[in-house]
Amino acid sequence: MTIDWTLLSLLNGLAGRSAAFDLVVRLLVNDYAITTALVVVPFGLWFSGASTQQRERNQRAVLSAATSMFIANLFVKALNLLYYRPRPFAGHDLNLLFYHPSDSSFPSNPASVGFCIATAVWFFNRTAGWILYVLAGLLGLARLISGVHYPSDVLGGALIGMLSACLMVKKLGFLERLWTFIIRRMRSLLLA
Amino acid sequence: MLYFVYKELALGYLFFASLCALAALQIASVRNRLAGVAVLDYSQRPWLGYVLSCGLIVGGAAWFFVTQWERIFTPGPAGSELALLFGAGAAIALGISLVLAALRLHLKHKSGAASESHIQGQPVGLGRASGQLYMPAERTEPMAAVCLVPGLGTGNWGSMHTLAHHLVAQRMVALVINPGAELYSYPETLATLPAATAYLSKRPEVDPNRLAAVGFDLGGDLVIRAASAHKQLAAVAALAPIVREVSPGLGLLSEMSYLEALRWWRDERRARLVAQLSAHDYGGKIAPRPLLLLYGANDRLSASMSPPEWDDQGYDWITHKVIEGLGHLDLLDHPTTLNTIVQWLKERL
Repeated sequence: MTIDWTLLSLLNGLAGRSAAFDLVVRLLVNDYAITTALVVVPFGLWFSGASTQQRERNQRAVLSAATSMFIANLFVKALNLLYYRPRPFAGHDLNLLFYHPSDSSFPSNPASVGFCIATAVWFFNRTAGWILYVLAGLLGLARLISGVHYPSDVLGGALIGMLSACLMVKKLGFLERLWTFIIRRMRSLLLA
Repeated sequence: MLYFVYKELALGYLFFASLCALAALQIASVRNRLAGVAVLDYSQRPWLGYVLSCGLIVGGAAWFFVTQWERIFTPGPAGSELALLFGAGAAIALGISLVLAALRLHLKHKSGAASESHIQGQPVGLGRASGQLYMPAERTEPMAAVCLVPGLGTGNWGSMHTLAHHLVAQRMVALVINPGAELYSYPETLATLPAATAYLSKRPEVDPNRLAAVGFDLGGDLVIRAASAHKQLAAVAALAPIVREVSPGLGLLSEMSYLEALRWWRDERRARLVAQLSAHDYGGKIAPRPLLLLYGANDRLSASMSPPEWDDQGYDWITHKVIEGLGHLDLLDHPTTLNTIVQWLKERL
């Protein structure tokens, strides 16, 4: 808890010093900028690939990412039912750059979504995966600087996201058949 | 129950998501040569696609964040509502891309069709089929002759006549087969090339021992199949023959609009004819006579390779050439293609 708070106060201390820096953080932390980029990259990936095989691999990445996101959300909802952690701004004086979310601070839902998309895509396409990791990392960092999460919330969310993606890609192999079916159907519509 | 909190924010995000998805589609179309989703022609200027995409993202983001700044920093739609809005935005972007690309390609084809105005051959009847005969002005001794079979429903017919003009300039007789319904009928189509060669052989200007056939697309399959049995043909050139049906998918959008690609793929007559002509099984029987296989490097509509079984003949009878920067449909329109065919025929006839 001490490390958690020390790290948070260190990062949140960066806020409120420069209007330009705060503007950048507010642009990154909101629900519409990086989250949109996190879905635009897989959307573009669906249509990308030099060969049919490479394109199919990318399409499997997109389908895996969407399913991983669903699994990660289930984990987060289940944890929210079992454990409620107040937001850091509830008990501390922080430079808040975002509105006051009322749900549990742990785990960070945006971090879980970002890291599960990045991990699922990374298994199939390293370049796109790394780009998505950078975006997910930026989102997590912006949440800390803005004072809406503890570092352990973001870390927990990232772990849940990555584990969900690993579970999806490594253990739910039976879904491969479903992916093949979806890709074939989309291919017959000339959209895959 | 879906709750979007602010109608303006939801609509604004829908617009922003559409622009971002449109940008992603344009980048994908530049990187993967998907003309069917490209709103502008990026083939010569790929940078234009990246500039347009950056403009859409930066412009869309600037507009969205400036107009919605206050609402963004209050509790807004939840993840499920945002996912729905993004999905709708992506669908809108895809629709816009497909429609604008179709309009662009339609205008491009329309301007290409104007080149058919130089079709000036002498009409000839070939049984159920017909054709246009091109003769060099000087006729001192019997000349080599070439039958040209167009793509069946594919490509620019006028290009075949341009090729005929090039052959005539090299003192060769050219007979362009007219694309008609009979070319689609099997087995009637198999009689087309023998009828054309029989017609040419009877002409005093033609040397019957120096006959060749050139076919484009399914016309390529037809010349391969016909030449396998018709030994009078001394050389065969197949330009982007289909040989094997390619799997459908986004690859078809590399050169066609969505509707054209859908029509092309669902053309049962064409698919049936590929199987009936079975060029794949008959190609090997052309040996040892020379066969030119010519493809565009960006061709996604044909198999773009000679089946390995054809090469098991023990001697070098296939010339396999790939022309960089060309696809399936524009292969025949390019000067490099025309020069390659004419040069190859000149050396072998």
